[in-house]
Amino acid sequence: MKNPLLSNPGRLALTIMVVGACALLMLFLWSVYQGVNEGAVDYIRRTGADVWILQRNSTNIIRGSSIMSTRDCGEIRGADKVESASPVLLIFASASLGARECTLFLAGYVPEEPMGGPPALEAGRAPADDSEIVLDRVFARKHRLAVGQKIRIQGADLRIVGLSSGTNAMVIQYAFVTLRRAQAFVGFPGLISFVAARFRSGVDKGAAIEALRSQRPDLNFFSDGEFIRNNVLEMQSGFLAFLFIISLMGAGVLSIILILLFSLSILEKRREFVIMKALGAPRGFIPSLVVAQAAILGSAGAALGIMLLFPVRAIVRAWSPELETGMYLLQIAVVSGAVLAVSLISSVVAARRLSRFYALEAFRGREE
Amino acid sequence: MGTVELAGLGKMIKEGNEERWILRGIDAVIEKGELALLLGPSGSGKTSLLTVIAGLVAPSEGRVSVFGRLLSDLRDRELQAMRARRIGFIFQNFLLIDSFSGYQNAEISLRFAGFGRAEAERAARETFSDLGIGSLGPRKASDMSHGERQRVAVARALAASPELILADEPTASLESGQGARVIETIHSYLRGSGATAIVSTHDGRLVARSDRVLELKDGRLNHCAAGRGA
Repeated sequence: MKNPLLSNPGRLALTIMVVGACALLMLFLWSVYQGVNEGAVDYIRRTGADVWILQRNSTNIIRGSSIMSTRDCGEIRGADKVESASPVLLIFASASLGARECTLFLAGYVPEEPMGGPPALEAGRAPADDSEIVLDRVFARKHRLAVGQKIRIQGADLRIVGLSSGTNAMVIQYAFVTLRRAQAFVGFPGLISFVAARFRSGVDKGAAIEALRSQRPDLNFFSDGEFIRNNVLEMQSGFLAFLFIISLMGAGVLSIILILLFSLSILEKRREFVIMKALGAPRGFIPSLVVAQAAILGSAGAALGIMLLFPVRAIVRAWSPELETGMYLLQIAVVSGAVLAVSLISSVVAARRLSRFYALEAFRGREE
Repeated sequence: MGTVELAGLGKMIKEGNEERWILRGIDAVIEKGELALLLGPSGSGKTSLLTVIAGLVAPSEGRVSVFGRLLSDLRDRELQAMRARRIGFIFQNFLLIDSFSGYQNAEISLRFAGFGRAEAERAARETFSDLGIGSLGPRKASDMSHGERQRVAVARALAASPELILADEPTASLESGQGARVIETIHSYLRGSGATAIVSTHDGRLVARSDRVLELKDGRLNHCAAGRGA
């Protein structure tokens, strides 16, 4: 049976656009969240260490400082079952770009060591000496820098020799120099932040980590999985609440707009609903028209939001390259379900008005 | 036993702090197959009496029986089912659903009466065809003229083959020729089906086609007699 609530094409299109915009907002925020989560730990994930060693009480590299000595790295390297240990010094460094200053997450590492450097190079090569630097590709694109150019970091001119990928943590990007160069920037030659180590093949990693813990109780040892989790949690504690609140606000605004739109369309169709009541419409029939309208609008709006997500992501990426986004089917399903649920709940709230429409009105000549 | 029986019927309403009887002391029986006219000037209580008979308003006193059942004994759901399945309504201004076609206006009424989708579509088309208004079926109600809307409203009321037709001033806004055609359509339906009709009007010329006349004045039954068509 035709639904009179769907008879106004202009209103229908407007409502679908409103629902679509809210679905797009939620999907986009979630994809940013996903992108941040992935980008923040990509460096760790791709380094391929079996164990990460930090100063005691340090659990992550995102918002925690760990201070260790190169001697600690030497001791770990010499431990039984350890195949290699790579020291890394992570510091925030200021880069001068004309009149502007930008901050980089500068990783000083030993290029001859197997870990600690850029996990993947999109262009160029790794630094060979203290005058060279590898920049994150997103940072380079954003500031129109290319391999062969120079960049001034904390007063030193460094030549860009490579561009790395998987090193964009959205709020900041990694850059890679030699360990010596990074230590020179802070003025402490023996200083490192953490050590990434690998065990020999066939070694029980859990037992090996326990052995290292008992050998150096003053340090923190994390398996690769634990360390990734720690960093993700650290990122989430800052971002999740923020994005979640914005998403909730989006859902709240959507609910209010939908309740208003549904209420308006119900009031507009008051005469027709009164006729239906007078003709003997079963009790749940008219509310079911409102709910059906909401289901159609919610589904169409969610579909529109999903369709718009891809071009919007592309536009945002072009405008702000550091904003990485990630998207999975689960997110699309959850957001679509949430939008549909909000639409249905809004329609139920709006449908309460129907109880104040009386069949008797049909006999009072309310129209024409 | 009549199709509609009214015994000591009264309806009181409150207007501010004052109470006013809009119907009082009405006793009448409308037999099966009769075309009964409710005559009276505006404000005499004709529409109120129809709404009471339809079970949309409960009387303040007295009893109303329709199809042999006291309306006060029926639950809301039973009243709704009775209106949908056994009563056909023609409203004063026809009250079509503007966004629907002529057929759809009849179909929705048929669906409420318990017809399946295909059954309702078929019955709507048959009714329009029988009444000679097949060309109005596919047209949107909002695009119809006054007279066309009135004919579709009658078709909607008759589509589910109701046992009782309640028509509220169905000729009030029509030219005399169109009004006569409405009454003729109802009359011929009653003859073919044995159904009953109660038609409120202030047009005394319709008395000639009626079987019974109930004349209301100030909410009281002023006169109740067999019509000239009886």
